Amino acid sequence: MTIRYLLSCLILAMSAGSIGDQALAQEPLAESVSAAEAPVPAPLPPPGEMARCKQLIDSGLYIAARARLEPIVEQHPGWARATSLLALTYYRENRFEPAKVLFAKALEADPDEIAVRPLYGWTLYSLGELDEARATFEELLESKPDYTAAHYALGMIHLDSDEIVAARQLFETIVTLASEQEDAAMEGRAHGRLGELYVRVDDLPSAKRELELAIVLFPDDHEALFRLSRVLQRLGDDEGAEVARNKYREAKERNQPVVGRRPG
Amino acid sequence: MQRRQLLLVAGLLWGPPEAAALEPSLRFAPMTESAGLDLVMTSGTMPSREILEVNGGGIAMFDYDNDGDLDVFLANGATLDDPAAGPGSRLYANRGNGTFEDATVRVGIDLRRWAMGVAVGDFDGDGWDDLYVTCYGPNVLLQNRADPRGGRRLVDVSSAAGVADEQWSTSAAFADLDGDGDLDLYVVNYLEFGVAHPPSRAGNAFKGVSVMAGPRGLTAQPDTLYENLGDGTFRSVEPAAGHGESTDLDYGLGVRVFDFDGDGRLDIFVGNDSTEDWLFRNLGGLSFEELAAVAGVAANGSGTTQATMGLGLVDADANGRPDLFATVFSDDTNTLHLNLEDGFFDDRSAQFGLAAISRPYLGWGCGFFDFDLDGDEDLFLANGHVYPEMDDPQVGSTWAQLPLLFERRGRRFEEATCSDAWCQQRYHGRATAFGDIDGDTDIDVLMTTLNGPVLALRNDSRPSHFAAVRLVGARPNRRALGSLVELETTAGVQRRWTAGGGSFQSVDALDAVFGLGSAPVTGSLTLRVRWPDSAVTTIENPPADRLLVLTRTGSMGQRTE
Repeated sequence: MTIRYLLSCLILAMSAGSIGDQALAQEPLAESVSAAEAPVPAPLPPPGEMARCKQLIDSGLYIAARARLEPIVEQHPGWARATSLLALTYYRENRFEPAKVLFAKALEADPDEIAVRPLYGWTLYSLGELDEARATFEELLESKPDYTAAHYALGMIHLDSDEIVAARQLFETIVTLASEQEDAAMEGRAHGRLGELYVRVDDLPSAKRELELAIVLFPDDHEALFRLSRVLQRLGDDEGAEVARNKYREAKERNQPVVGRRPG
Repeated sequence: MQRRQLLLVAGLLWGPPEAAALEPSLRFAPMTESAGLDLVMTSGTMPSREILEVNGGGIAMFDYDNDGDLDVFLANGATLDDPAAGPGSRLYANRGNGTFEDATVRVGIDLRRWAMGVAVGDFDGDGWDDLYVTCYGPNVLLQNRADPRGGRRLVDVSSAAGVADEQWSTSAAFADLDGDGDLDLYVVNYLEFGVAHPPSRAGNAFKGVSVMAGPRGLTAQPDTLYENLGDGTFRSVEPAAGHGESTDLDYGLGVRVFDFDGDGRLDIFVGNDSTEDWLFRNLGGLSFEELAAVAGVAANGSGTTQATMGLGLVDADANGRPDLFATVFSDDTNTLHLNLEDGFFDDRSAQFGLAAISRPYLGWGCGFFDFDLDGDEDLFLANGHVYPEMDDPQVGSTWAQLPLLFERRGRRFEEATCSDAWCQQRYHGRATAFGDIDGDTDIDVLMTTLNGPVLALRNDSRPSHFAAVRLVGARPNRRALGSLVELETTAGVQRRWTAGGGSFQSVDALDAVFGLGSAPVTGSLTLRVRWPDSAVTTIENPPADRLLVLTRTGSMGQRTE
């Protein structure tokens, strides 16, 4: 499982849900810049500047985005959204240490900046800091109990910690919530993780059932396709395994470049 | 580091007052200087500019003079300006007490080309271990011969033996792959690299910063399999069945030779950098079937092809089958491929606690050993990034990295508490080798660092009871490579495989050391050895706290010092 893949899941959930890093592009409210921290108020950037920065980030132009954001953050250190966007430039490049510091500053400046918390949580997860990531997502769920992406992240942390029962409960909760929210992709992803979980406990028929559901709901779930190919192989269905493996390759090709490997 | 300090602080604040409760069960003390392992390794210059400079050199722990203790060979590199004339590889002879003297000149080694890795095997069956040194440039076979003036000589017979592979080789393994008794040789090759015209960095980025080229985009070099002809020479064997298109172009870094499916034939696992790993199932007669993808070890559990660096063997789930562990690039997770009862592998890294913690690290050498002799195998990992650019404050990572030490606790591996200075320090960690270098039977650690000294760690864990076995195989396979040693106690069965190859460019000592815990040993012990020829030796209640020397021919001795 790659970080980029997990992130794509999160972003996918965000795009369909009520919280997203798109929210980071919102312009500042006047009161969000603390007067106490800026005795001589620096001028605010022109309207639309946050949206422009977000556009640069989404285009992969992180250096250009940083060039615009850094002076803003320097002038307005209490501006959570600007700080978050600066953090996002690092996050998108897998520079998790500086991203962590900046996301933490953004949350300190505005604990209610809800779009930041999941990104901060995934940053911690990417650094292997599972306990801290767990606390972040649990806190997020206190304010947004129906936020499936946070349930999903917590489920991943439970899987990493080999807490199978808790993980299963969370992914089953996601299936219910995502179905109610008509979020087929997230519902599929949850089934995919249930499949992974059943593989781990050597319940291959249940794994097959969940993984097949996963790819019906979310055909681009290349991880589920790969796992399905493995399960079918182990169940003796060589032909089915080959079909799943080919679909996996196609889906992966569509989804993303490979990450976690040395670039060429 | 922060995690370790927190663990220590937490222990001090909340822990019970008993000193034993606070004392970590795994303890190591640096002994590089006192041991006399004084070589500062060379692998290009710092900071590394090209991919040729990043692997560093390997280690062999072996007994070159058959005096019963472990000597150390260090494969040393060179620099880009003259890759054929480095400071030279070294052989250190153990004085019998864990201190070493430089025996390089005495044994006639003059190996100055850019050496990478090392394999150990008695290729000529004369009872003395020989060395095969992989290099950037022609590899070197050093035959261990009697010196007419006394002592031993390690003589370069590469060309005459037909094994002077001229590619960039990384790891190698001796093993009897065709079952004829003598040791064949598998050589792992990496990629084409021209010192005069190094590849351009243009377009190579990692975490948003420009980095050195490779391996992707560079031309991979094929591995070489040599059949031992039994007369002191080898012949290169054309890959047989199953070496399909996918196995032609991969960047090899590691190899382990072991019987993954229990059919009595030794199989080959090759760890490749950034491309699928290979598993060659031995069909007999030097014919192999590549089935990594089918078996489930070509990639990790989500299908991601990894940059595999180091390889470890362990029976993590105690099902009697050897599991494979792979250290990988950073921003990925090390992978434990569990060898399941149905003949397939499955990625269970997270289940065993080895996944999340490894994300920031770029892992190299590794080893599963029962360092604290409590009856289960722990894990040591060498880490170090390849890109100096990781030190850029804006990247927020580091080029040098902490080694990781895990203790097996129940079903999981947990990072061991360590407040000692050596484990708070970041290293450019590379190869590792494991074995008892100070003669007290517990397992010590050697780790090479990039352009730095070797880190030698004396195992100072609390003394516990143990059973230890040294196998002396039938000639020509005197090291009994390919054996399985099992110790059955009332708590279960512990297993050790004497596999060909090593974790990364290195060779561990082969003695099988089983921990029996600190309490007096009660109940029955059964020791079983399955030799390479499938013969089985069973010994009821072998003596504890002694190194038992078992020979294939049936004699048994004890080494008590």
